[in-house]
Amino acid sequence: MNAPAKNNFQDEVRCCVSDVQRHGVIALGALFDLTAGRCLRYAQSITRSQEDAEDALQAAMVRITVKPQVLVTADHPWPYFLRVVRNEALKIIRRRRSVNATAGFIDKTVESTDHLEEDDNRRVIREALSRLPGNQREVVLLKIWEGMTFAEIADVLNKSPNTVASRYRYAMEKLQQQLSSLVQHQTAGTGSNR
Amino acid sequence: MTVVTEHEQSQPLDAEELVRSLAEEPPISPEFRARVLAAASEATATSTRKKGWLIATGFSALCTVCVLMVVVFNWKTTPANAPGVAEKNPAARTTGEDIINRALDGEGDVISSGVGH
Repeated sequence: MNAPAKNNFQDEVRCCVSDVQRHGVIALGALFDLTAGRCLRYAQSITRSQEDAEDALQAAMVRITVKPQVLVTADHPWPYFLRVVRNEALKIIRRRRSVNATAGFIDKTVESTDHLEEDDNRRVIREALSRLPGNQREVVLLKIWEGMTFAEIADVLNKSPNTVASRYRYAMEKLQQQLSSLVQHQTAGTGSNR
Repeated sequence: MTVVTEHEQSQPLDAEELVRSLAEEPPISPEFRARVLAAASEATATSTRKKGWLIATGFSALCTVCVLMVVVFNWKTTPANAPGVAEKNPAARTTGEDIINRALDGEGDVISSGVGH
């Protein structure tokens, strides 16, 4: 059911990148408007920081602008684009690790989610997601948020579809376990308050 | 080898729906958009400059090599008694005519070689 919409999006991405190839930076605005939100969301899930995600997206956009032909000729431009974003995000994380700031930005993420004043359910889900190992969380988000197939996710992560599928299965098992226990805990907490 | 299909792996979990409910795109500020476009523009300009510089360097290197090849070729193929060379190097000026003239003047070993008789 999702397939035509997804193909449309792929085609739109390809079309925008072709425009960038033909007209240069002037045409980048359209590509940015089309993809920035989704790319930023994905980068944020990797870096766990808004600023780092923005830096990763900026670097990816610059890369695509300088060499748009790689995306135009790619079989699946959207997974390829996400791969570029992912590589840039991982580069930033590596740089962060070298200055040993990991603990700092995890605290900052927790702090920033506290400020969001989101409802309890959303907070519980977000916490459950953040407890997943990074490689499993990535697969879950690409599958559920981006609606990608395992083959496409495998393309983004440079892994085999079977690996991706088993990561997804493990992640969903953990999520179900964590969410049910958290929801139970929450219900018990609300009950005792009453 | 097991082949994994989407149907086999997609589990009808509530967790999937719950995670989907979080799928909202973060807001993009106009400042961030402007920053990205400016960075891309700068990167393109730098890339163009670099390309131009590479082309210029390559072309001048090619010209230098060509000029050197011509010089070496000329040096190798010019005879030692060629007019220009002989003027610069008098020792190389001795031609067959000089030998005969010297022999007629009775100079040197040329007489003993029998040229004078």
